[in-house]
Amino acid sequence: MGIYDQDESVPEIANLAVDNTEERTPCVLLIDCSGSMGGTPMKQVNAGLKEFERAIKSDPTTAARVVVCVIGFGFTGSEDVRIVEDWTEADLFNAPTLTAQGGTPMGKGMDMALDEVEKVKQSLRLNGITYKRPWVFLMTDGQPTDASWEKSADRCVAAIKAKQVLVWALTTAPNSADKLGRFVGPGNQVFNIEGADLSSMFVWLSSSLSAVSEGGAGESRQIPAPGPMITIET
Amino acid sequence: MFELDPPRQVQGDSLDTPAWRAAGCSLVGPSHHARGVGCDDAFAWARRDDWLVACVSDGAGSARFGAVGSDRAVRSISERIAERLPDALDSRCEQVVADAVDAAREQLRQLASAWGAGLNDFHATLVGAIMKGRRALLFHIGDGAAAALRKDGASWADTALSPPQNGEYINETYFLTQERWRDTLRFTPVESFDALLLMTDGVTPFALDRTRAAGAGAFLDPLLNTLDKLAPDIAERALRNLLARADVRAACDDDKTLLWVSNGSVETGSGGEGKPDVEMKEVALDVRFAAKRQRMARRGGRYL
Repeated sequence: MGIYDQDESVPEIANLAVDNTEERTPCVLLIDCSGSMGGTPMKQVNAGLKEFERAIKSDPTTAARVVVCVIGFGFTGSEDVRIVEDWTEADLFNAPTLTAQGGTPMGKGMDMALDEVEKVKQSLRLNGITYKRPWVFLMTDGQPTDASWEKSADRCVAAIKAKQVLVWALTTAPNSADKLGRFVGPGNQVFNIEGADLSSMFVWLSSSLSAVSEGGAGESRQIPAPGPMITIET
Repeated sequence: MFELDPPRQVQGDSLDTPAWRAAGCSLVGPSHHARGVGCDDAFAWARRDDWLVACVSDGAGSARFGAVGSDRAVRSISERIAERLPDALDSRCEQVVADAVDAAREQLRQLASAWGAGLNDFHATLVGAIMKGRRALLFHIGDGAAAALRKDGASWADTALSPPQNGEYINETYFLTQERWRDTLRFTPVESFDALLLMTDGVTPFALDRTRAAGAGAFLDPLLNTLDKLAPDIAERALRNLLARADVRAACDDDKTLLWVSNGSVETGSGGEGKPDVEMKEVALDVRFAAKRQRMARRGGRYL
């Protein structure tokens, strides 16, 4: 008898409802949409977002447990930081197509990401749905250009220390690692993905989210660092 | 240096005495099974006179010997409590429980030093009950749940519930193996019950309602109405069937333990008949509204 085979000689427990109140893992994709991302990098990001959508939907557990929000920073005009895709369950996620324009208001972007994380936590709590620590996945090719980015970086470091959020900082520009390091704090890595196909980073993200969302209570999962790449100590 | 038991896949037992009908099952969860890992859950019970002591435990998957921790803890704690019960079910029982947990910790500590490990390599939760007649005392460290229920026609009302305790995040909980175990040991007295359920966190997602402070009637009523009519050895197999069901596995991929105790005899009446079918409730989630907001935004509205 297989481990999950039914013993047909036993009376069935009929009409029993198994309501799924599975925990969620929220994830913000915080993407640099500044002018310098134009051309190949943005093409790779858009391909990566589509691949991310396919991957998180392909595994039923991940599709049921991950909630996603996409925030872009860059653009021109007054809305230089935008929610491109509002919070949605993974199985309803539609990959947006991003365009590259404008500066790099990374600080404002991170502020919005941290605000959104708190919002979704509150929403899940109100619905009686438990959750794991939310992720912010920051991908950039440059340095923050907004005036008060350091204040936002400090807020981010405090949120990481208080376990409010887990932040993955990825950059294609090694010379931006110092400033990016200010967002994650000493002892936490900035991942240099110079020369890597950006779309592959979204594959890494979806498989890591799968590993984490499937872990049980009290269980820690080891996931590979986003790579293959050099790690910069900050 | 140390000898590990082979990984557990499934554990089942039943008890049939004039005072008690009990059945329990631990079944490896799909995610552990897929990785070739055993079940980290365990349960045990011990009797003395007309008393029954039962425990379930979930060994932490992140701890090297979580499965050993849960197994040793439930056996040691239930036996030691049964040995040292006072002459009545009262507040003295709380001290008996605390002493038994302390003794189990000491046992695990000795095992840890023999194996060159630490107590935290045996991290395990604890959900238990001391039962006498229709009264009980629930004791609890960490997640999982204990529910005491009374039968009311075809439905069951939980008269007492010991809910899961987690950190802010659902994957953080408390273990009897932690230094601050005394701060996290909780007691819930039960004045009257017809059935009592102990469960690990693989079962609570659908056995409790959204508030996690009450049982989910749509799950518990059919379960208890069925078990009520079964002899314990059949109930044990019915529990295994339940935990192995595809919809139950899909609802939570963790290891699952469910332990049922009834202080009544087999129900032969026709209770439960004529009960309407319970429909699967749709999980309404606030974030679903996000899709609507998105569509508005695309039509030129503001974001959020």
